[in-house]
Amino acid sequence: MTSMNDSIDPVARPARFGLFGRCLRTSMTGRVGFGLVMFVVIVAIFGPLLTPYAPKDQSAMYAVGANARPSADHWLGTDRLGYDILTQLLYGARTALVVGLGAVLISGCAGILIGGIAGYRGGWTDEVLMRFAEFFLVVPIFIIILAVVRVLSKAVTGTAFETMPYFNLTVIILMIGLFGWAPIARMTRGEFLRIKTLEFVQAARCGGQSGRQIVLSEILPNAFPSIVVLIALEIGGAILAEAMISFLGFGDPNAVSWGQMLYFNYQSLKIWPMASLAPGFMIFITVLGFNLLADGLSDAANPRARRR
Amino acid sequence: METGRYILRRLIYAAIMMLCTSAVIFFLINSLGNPVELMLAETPGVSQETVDLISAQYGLDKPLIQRYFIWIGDLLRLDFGTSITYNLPVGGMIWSWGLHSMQIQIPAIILSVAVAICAGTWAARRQHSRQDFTVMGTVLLGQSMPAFFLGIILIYIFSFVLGWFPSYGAISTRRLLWGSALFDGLWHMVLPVAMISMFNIATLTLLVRTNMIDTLRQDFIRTARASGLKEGEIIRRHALRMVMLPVITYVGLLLGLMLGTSPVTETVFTWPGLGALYVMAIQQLDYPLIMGISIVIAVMLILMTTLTDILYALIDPRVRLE
Amino acid sequence: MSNNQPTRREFLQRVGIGAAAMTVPTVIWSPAHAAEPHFKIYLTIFNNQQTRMIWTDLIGKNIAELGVEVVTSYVPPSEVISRRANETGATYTEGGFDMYSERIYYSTMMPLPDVLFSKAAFPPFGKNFYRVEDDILEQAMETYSSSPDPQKRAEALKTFEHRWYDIQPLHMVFYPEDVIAINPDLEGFDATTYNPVFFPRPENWTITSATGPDVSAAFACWQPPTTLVPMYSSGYNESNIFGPVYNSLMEYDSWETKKAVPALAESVTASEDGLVWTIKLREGVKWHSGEEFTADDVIYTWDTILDPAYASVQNSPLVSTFGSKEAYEKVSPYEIKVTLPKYSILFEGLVLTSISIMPKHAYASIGPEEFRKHTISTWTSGFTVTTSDGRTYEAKGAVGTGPWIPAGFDAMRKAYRMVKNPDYWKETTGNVTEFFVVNIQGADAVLSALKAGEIDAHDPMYDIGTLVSTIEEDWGKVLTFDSYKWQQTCLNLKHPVFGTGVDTPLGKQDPSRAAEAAVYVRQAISHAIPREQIIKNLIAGYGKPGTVPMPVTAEEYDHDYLKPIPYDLDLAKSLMEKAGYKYA
Repeated sequence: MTSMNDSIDPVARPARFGLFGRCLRTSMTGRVGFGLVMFVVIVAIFGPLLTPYAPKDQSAMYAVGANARPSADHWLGTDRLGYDILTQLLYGARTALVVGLGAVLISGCAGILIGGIAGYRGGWTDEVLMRFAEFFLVVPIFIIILAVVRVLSKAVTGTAFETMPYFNLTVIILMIGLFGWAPIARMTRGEFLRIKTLEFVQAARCGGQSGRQIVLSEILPNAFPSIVVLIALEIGGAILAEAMISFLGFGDPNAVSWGQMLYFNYQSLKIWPMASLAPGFMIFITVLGFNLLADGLSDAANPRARRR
Repeated sequence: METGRYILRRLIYAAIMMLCTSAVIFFLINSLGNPVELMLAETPGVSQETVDLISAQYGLDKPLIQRYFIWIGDLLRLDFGTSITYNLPVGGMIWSWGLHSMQIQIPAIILSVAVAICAGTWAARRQHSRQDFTVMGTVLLGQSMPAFFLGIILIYIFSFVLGWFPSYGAISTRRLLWGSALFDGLWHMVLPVAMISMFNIATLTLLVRTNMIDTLRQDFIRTARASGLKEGEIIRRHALRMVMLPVITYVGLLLGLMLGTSPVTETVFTWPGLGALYVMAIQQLDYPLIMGISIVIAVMLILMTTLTDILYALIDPRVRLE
Repeated sequence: MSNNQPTRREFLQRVGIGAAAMTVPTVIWSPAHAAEPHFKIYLTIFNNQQTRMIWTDLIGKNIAELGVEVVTSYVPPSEVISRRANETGATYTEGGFDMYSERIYYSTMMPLPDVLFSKAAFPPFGKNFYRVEDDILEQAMETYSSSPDPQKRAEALKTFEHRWYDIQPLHMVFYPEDVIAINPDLEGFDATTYNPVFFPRPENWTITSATGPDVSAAFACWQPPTTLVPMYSSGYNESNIFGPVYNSLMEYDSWETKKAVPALAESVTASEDGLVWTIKLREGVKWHSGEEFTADDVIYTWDTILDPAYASVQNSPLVSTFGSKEAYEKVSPYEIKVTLPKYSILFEGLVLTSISIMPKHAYASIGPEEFRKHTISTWTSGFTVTTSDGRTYEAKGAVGTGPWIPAGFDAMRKAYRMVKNPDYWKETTGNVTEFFVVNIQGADAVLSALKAGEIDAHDPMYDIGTLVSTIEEDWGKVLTFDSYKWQQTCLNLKHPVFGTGVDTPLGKQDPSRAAEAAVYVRQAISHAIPREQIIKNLIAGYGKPGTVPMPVTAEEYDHDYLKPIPYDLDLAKSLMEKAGYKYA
């Protein structure tokens, strides 16, 4: 395998398309991960078609009651709040994906921007930005997010933000995003440092392209495969983080969240285990899906190293 | 000489970082309002004059900036103030609850390192084999398992169904296991330690395996092999030493984080640790307690990362040239 | 954002997956509301008790069914507490509150509605956080609390109940029952906790399986205490711990009879008009320090609470009873004469029974600003008390006259420890000699602890009702007590819609009928509360549907008039229509 790589023409641009395709072709974990992620995505999109209930519909309270066993009306039964468990699971998929994608959108943009500047500029800029990133790399994110969620919910009282739907959830997404950029920045910087010395970049520079052009059309696309791996990992991480925050009771009361389902139901685990086990299982497979996908992508991005 | 300069630079970074963090914590929390008003809110019949009087007693009538420096001064004398909800000195509370956090975190870290080194090495030596695949699969499952879900399952199986381990608290109130506080404490630690270890083991195994694979490819290992040393010997004598460097960094990070990383574990097991105390403090908006815990966690973290960096530089002088 | 079900389905069928995927990022759903909401309520939910979070949220959703926009948020109780204590009756957007829910009770065994609802008790100086203001209610409360004639009082209370039922100022959701699981080997556990007059009484507990001279018992409560000084406490977490240490002048003999009997007082006699009271104190009672208990201690306690610098929670009722310190005087070391400025039922109902007497010799030297941080409040260290005959006593917490002596806070177990007082003035029947109060968070955890033999009983805050089916006979015996409390949703009665009614269509059209319109809206809300379902599903049937702020088991409760309020959304909507709101 080593010899094969050695034979690549150093001036030629590395292939950058078909990362997903290669991931699916070559990596078993990638295939399983992709399957799981697709499952969650499909559930998120079509889930609502599969259930006659609206989310947060507590009508079961007036009929079969809370913590009811599965029946024709409620396939997985109802939970302690009188919600149809299946409905909550289906709608929870949307929240999970929105949290994952939203947070990563923020952390991805910030990370690539900061890492890119640090890697391309080098020198003092690099030093300062990376020290800054280092701090974010190690800071205990929960501690901060819990404090900010509480502080903000008190601070916005009486302002326009308060009327914003899903304000709490938005804050959580923002915070997870803002605290997740550092690994991406570090990876981007590393890739930029490496790629900037490669010959095709040198060639482009000699060809008279401007700095911005080089970054956008030469360096960034080639750094992307490695970044994508991290992004997939971070989606899983963000979903997990939101679940934990909700589990501690700091979630958004208006959103349907698996973590919040667990928060309300785990005390009655002995009465009706389904209500806690089902959302826990959903979080698990979603996060697992993204982690496996990241693993597969990493295999595809660096065929030589095979898993980092 | 150069090592000395590097250490000095690292220390200066650490000091700057601590100053910034303390400012962020102080101004963020104090933007919430007057803690005395909150403290007396439940007491009807308190006039504004009384509130002002008590505020002055707490030094809250001074400008924010001045209070920040007073607070820093108090911190340097290890005076963290008094909790509003529990009326106890915050320093004492952090110490007592923090010890309980360490009581589960340190064994969990030791256990994780031990298991991860064995599993990681074992998998690395059998790269791409079925065993390697099993280890890696388990690692990925472990990394994806939400900690609280794992905790709930552990409680359900081992505490509720089987009844082997207690599901809450750090020690029995009255009937100690076999009449010994030590055994009783260990008995209570089993489930929380298992829960914390799970995630650490997964991450560390991955780290050990990756680095072991890299190391085993290197020239000096080939040389050692050529000289006829047994594979086990090579790994123990040469490869492990290289692998330990990133492991030390990660363990340093874990040690730095240990006070603040487990609010979930501690909530699930109602373990009287600092993470659980922090969640309570936030729920009740107990300002001095929130600030005290945050600053202790931040300082621990900065100290530990600085320390590992310095240690690392001393062990392997190449890194500082990175 | 407000896509509702059918349109999204049609949309999906027509446009297909690609477009549908675009809609994912908006977590799209939002309850299908009628066109324009009638008005808006901010429903703040205390984040400290899950069951209540669930049923309050459920009530919010039902109110939304009436075409009201309900904005729900989970907040720590401290935030609502600071919001409700404003002087003006501000609504939520102005920094006050609109609606929240809480469990509340009269802090006495005698109903004292004026403490909670009287106009004179408006915040920040009193407790009427909701600003209940109605002439008939006001008159009834006034008559009740100021007439020494029991006949007249009973009638006034009846008027109060009927008027409340008719205009529904606040909505009683249910009267919970306290469900408590105890160690089956524990005998003598005959009362639930009811701050501040009932708390665990381990001196009368017998652990039948125990052998040997040292028998310990443990009691669980949810949260660590805030302060263990009785005059600062407003909650169970505190009285569970300090309760067994102190005594008051009168105490209640048992939960079953709820009758006040003399404790530190030997006898209490009143003049015909109820204005002059003579209190004879029990002689020979010793503080834990060995000092003799005298009238000076009672006077010291009352003086301290009346002193605003100490900011005691009992200040307000004491001020309204006594007026000033002139109202009482020491006649002899064992006799106190009280002359009330006017008759007040608070004296009998609260001052005699609910105020724990503090030791002058031990506490008098502690300044107001030190009280909350002092060892008597935290039990975490020790302090030396000097008695009048020059002996010293090392206190490991509070000093009281009660059956239990504090033995400090056990940091390892996070438990408050007490040992039995060998010199207690009253005969006790139990065999327990050492008593722990431990903090265990969570109903599940408390039952595990009981199963493991870690605790013998727990306080009622755990709401273990729904978990009763998981308790096995060999480790848990389930007891139920009428709780004498109620769970209510609180409304800000200065709110322009459901408080004063000036912003209702009817109120706008005819300002003289604004108050009437507000009553319709409140009645509508009351009919939108699914009380039976809440009781059945969330508290496993351990409760009765609520009507008025009166314990359902109290003899004063008028069962003939106060029929359960049915859950009926159509009726509710027709009431809303009476207030001028239109439905399509």
